[in-house]
Amino acid sequence: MGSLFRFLFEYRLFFLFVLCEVFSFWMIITKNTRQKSAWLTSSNNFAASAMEMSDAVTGFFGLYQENEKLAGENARLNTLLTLSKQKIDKMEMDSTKTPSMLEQYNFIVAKVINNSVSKPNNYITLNKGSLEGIKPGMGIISPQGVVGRVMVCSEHFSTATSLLHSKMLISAEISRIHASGSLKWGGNDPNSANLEFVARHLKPKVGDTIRTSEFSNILPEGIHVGVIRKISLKDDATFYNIDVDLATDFSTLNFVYVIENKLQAEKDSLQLKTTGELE
Amino acid sequence: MISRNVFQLIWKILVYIGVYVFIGHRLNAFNLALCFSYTGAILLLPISTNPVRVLLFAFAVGFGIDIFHSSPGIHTAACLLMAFMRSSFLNWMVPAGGYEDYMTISIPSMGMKWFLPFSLGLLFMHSFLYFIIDYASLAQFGMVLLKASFSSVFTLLGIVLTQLALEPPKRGD
Repeated sequence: MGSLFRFLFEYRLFFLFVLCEVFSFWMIITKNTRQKSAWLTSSNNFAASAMEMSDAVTGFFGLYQENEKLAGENARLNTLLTLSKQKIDKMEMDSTKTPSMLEQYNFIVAKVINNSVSKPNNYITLNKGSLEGIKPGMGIISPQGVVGRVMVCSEHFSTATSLLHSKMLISAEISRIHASGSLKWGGNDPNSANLEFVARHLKPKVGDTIRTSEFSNILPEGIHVGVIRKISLKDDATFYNIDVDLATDFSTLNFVYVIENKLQAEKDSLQLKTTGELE
Repeated sequence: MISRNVFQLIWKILVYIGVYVFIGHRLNAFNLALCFSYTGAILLLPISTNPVRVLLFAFAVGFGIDIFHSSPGIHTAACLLMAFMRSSFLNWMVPAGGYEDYMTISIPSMGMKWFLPFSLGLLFMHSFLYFIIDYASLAQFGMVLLKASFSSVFTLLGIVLTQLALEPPKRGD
């Protein structure tokens, strides 16, 4: 301790100098606008670059999961590709469908930039809008399954109704027995939904896969929705109560595909014509 | 006798600061050189003054000038650097035989060879730090160097003239 004091005393001039300089620089930075702004700018730049660096590091640690997801999606796409190849071969054989029907759907990749799962009605914001060809009413899927429907578009952004929304209904079917119904979110658990209007004469099983049906206006047929977790049937009920485990993990949504149905207008106008004539 | 010296010293300090306040701060040669003649009060303190006191004195002078210019800290920081380096300079530049009591920091007493590097070096440090802080960036480093060099020469000119007026060399010396 004594030697410390001796050291401090020996260099008292230097320490006093440093102390006074620190004080005067503190005055310079706090009291002079120009120097203050220079200081703030440089420290902000420093903070920004530090944040960028930490983001790069955390991004690096997330790469493993991202990689896993991509590999999974690759596998899924490969299966799809083979399946559609088979379909095309079949179609070429019976040649009942036109080429425009083969290219009925167009996929636009978008990134989810805002998302919620905990509210009674949840919405998703995407980083692409009308300039990239997104229009209200288009369906959205993720690599895992169904996500929702585009609601409003600006030039560069879109908001979409998530499947986790009280007004969102999706035509879905139990693919094993081709029993269609409507998928609706229960309002609590972001991982499960209910499949409604499955008639009691059908025989669904726990573990059956649910996919979008061909009645769906916004989504192509056969998109994965989820798996049946629980089935119950009251004695006086016409329809089953089916709980579905959703395939999409809404809390980790990142990249999604917005689906453009090129034949949507044609289908809509035809349907409108029929209703118009009936009225 | 001692009190007479003290009064003389205070009078000189007041003159250096007064010259700056009334004349020096208005001088701006070609937008390149400023005349920080108040630094004379620190530069020309008696050689034997305690370095800690020099530092505290420089702080007070710089702070006062800062209040006068409403630029808190800028002149203070520059003056502190100068005062700190002054004691080191005095140690490095001990003339053969050491300092004597009769020596003062002036051209007649110390000679050009000693006085010029001593004062120009310290004044350059002062004006360099001043302009670096004033510009608040390293983008115009060349301009800072240029202004600091010209200002230290210009300031030295002001200080020497004030000194000549205060202590006119005796005729026949």
